Amino acid sequence: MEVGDKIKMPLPEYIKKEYKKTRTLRGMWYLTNYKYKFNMSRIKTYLKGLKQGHVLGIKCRSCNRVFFPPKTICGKCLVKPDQWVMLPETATVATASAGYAEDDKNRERPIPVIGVRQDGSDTVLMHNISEGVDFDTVYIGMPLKIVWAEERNGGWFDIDHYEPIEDPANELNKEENKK
Amino acid sequence: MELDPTFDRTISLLNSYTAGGMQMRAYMKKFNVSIEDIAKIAVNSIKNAAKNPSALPEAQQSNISVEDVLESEILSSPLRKLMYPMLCDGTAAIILAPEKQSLKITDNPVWITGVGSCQDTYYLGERDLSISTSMEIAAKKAYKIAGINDPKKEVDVAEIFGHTVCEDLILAEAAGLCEQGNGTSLLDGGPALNPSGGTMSGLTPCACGLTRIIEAVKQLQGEAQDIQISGAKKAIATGQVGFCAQNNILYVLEGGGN
Amino acid sequence: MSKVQPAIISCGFSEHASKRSDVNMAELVYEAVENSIQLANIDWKDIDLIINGNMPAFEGANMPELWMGDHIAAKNKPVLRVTTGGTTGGSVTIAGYYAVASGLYDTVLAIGFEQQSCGDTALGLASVAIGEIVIYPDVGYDYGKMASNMSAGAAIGVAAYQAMNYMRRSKATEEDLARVVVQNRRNAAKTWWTHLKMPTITIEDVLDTPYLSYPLRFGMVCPASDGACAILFTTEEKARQIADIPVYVNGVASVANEPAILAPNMEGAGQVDPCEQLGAMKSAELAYGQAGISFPEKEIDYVEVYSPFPNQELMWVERLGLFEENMAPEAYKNGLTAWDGELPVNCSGGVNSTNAIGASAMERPAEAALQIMGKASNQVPKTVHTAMGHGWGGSINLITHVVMSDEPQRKWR
Repeated sequence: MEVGDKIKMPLPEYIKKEYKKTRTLRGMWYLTNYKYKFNMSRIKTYLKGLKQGHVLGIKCRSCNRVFFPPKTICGKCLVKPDQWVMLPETATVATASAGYAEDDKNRERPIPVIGVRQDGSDTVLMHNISEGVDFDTVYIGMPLKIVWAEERNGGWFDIDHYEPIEDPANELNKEENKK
Repeated sequence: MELDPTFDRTISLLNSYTAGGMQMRAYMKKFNVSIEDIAKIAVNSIKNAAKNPSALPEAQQSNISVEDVLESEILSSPLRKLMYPMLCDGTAAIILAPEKQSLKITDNPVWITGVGSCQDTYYLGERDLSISTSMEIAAKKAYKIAGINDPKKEVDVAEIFGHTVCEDLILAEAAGLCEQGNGTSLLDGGPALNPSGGTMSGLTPCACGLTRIIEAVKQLQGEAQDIQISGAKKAIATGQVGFCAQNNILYVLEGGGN
Repeated sequence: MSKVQPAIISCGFSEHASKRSDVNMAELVYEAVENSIQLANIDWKDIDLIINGNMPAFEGANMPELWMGDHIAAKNKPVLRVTTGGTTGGSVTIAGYYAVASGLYDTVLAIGFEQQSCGDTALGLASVAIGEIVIYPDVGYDYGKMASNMSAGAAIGVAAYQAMNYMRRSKATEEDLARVVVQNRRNAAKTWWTHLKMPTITIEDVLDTPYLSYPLRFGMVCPASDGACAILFTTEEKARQIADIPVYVNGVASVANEPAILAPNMEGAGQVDPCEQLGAMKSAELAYGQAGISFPEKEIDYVEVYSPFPNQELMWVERLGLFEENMAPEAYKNGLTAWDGELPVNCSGGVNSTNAIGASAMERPAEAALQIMGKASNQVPKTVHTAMGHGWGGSINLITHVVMSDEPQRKWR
């Protein structure tokens, strides 16, 4: 069973009204005929940085917010950010959720997706956490570190995934660190 | 995609070329207008576009003649290629402000004194294609608010958004700028029709109405350079959507003039 | 401020269902239009302007108000279109308000509709982001990985992430979310036009369904409905003649914020915490200010918030100033928001029970207005003087607010 397939659900019953069917006609919308333009200037520099193992964010000179991955325009200031900054490899979990698929024993297998906020940046990037991490242990504020891909060739997944690292505040916050 | 999905879209006979062709045929037949007269309006618009610095460069042809128009490719009889605008990319933006603020910001504001809009029925078969009822109603509303009694004499500049040159004429007549069927007389006198070239200077479907307003504003502020109509004080600018101008809007603008 | 005080005189609906297979778009809208004109008892020729709104990407039909012109009473009348995604209904309502307030039009018909069974919802949603998604494979982000990463958010968007953050802030449990769903669906059973009518649903029924995306279960999410809604606006003088209790629209506001989670152009999303909603708080402030309301928790009698997912209902009633921060789950437990409570919320069932995208944000002010008029099908026992309808959309960043009352706002005139 693939992710996204309709899982057969026992939905609670609701009062339905039957409607007669009227004539239907097919129609098409050829989205593949459209050509969209894309500004790659910031993304190219970012990907080059990833290939060299550098984590680059871009800073807006007006409000000093750092965007990771880079943005072409700052929404708050209407200014094009142009100052590149080097960010550390550590990050925290800003948000997390899980999609579900059935595993081989017909149980629900969570596929975690996390929103990652790189240390020093003010934005969130959706990415993956290490395989095998139990989704129940993921909490908001959990510290992470980048795991680079074995071979980096300037693509989006040169950052292969993020792995959890030890949280020094864990001992102090034992009660707070629940989802 | 603007077509009714249950019939017109599946039959796919109706598009802007065929609609323009049918409209032109109806107009020419009812008012006995020859195709040469319509070609003269096209030549006028294209020559104006050639003098307009904001026009699409590919649409600018200063050496065009009536023969060039009549021999251009047929899109849908009797509509010819040089009577139909060129589609292009573009953006337009304006800033509006109330009276007090605008007088603080600029010495030369242009006032919006009237507006009217109206939508006709969708089906071409239910309309008389040689006239435009929706533009007549929209224009009456706008003139009432602006206090214009005789548009033939009071309007100096008319920027009309028509999908073809013939539609420019039909809409100009419906807006009261000349007698019905007599649109070609606008070349000899009366309000100036599309001094910027109108849609023949380039058609960006959703920005075109705003571009017509901007061209009218330039005329009223005295900043239209080579295409300036001297002494322009009142102008109208129109916009539309739908086949054969189903939905029309008309703005009356007034400025200092010079 | 405005010279003319706009008022709502009637709200009409069509029947909403998962598949209205018996009508096409034009006929569906006509049901709502006919309903509203009959309730107001006016002649349709007196309507001066028609404003139409839906999300065209869902049906793949551009400019529907052109070919359904005859069905929406638009022959030889001015017509406007307003489309803002999920908040379309709210924006159409606000456009109706401004049309009357400007003094140019006396009677205005505002319509919101959607017929999702006509089209392809997934394609419609994808078309919102298509310009950005197609570039991903060029930078090494292939479709397979994208599908798996979007899986947590695909069906329900950012709401799942919003739920995680909200539950961490307020310590709400899944049971609290299920309680909201039960209240909504039972309310929907008493309203005639809604989609999911479940008069006997319990918390256990909701928690018994599998997860869609953590922490939202299948039983908690909104349906995709076909339906239409129409509101008639007019001036104060005409409203007094036509309606028993005209509903004066006193405050409108809409504020946009940066998107969260799903940002365009492969860039980092600007809103880090999706349940912070500064835009909603600002928009509420603006709308209350216009309406002259200083203590919303005391002055507002009835509220309809736009919450396709139960965590959003808890979040909105806090952000809109009706309950203290993190106190909403308690309020729901103690029955404050029930039909007979101090501040009833979503007695029509809310968006959780019926979601026709173009119409839902309009049905919220419409139901709130009906409660003031005393004509709602699930009329609350207390007298409602001031009510509020709210809408949101986009990547949780577009908000609209409409505040109404049975007294016109004389302060600003």
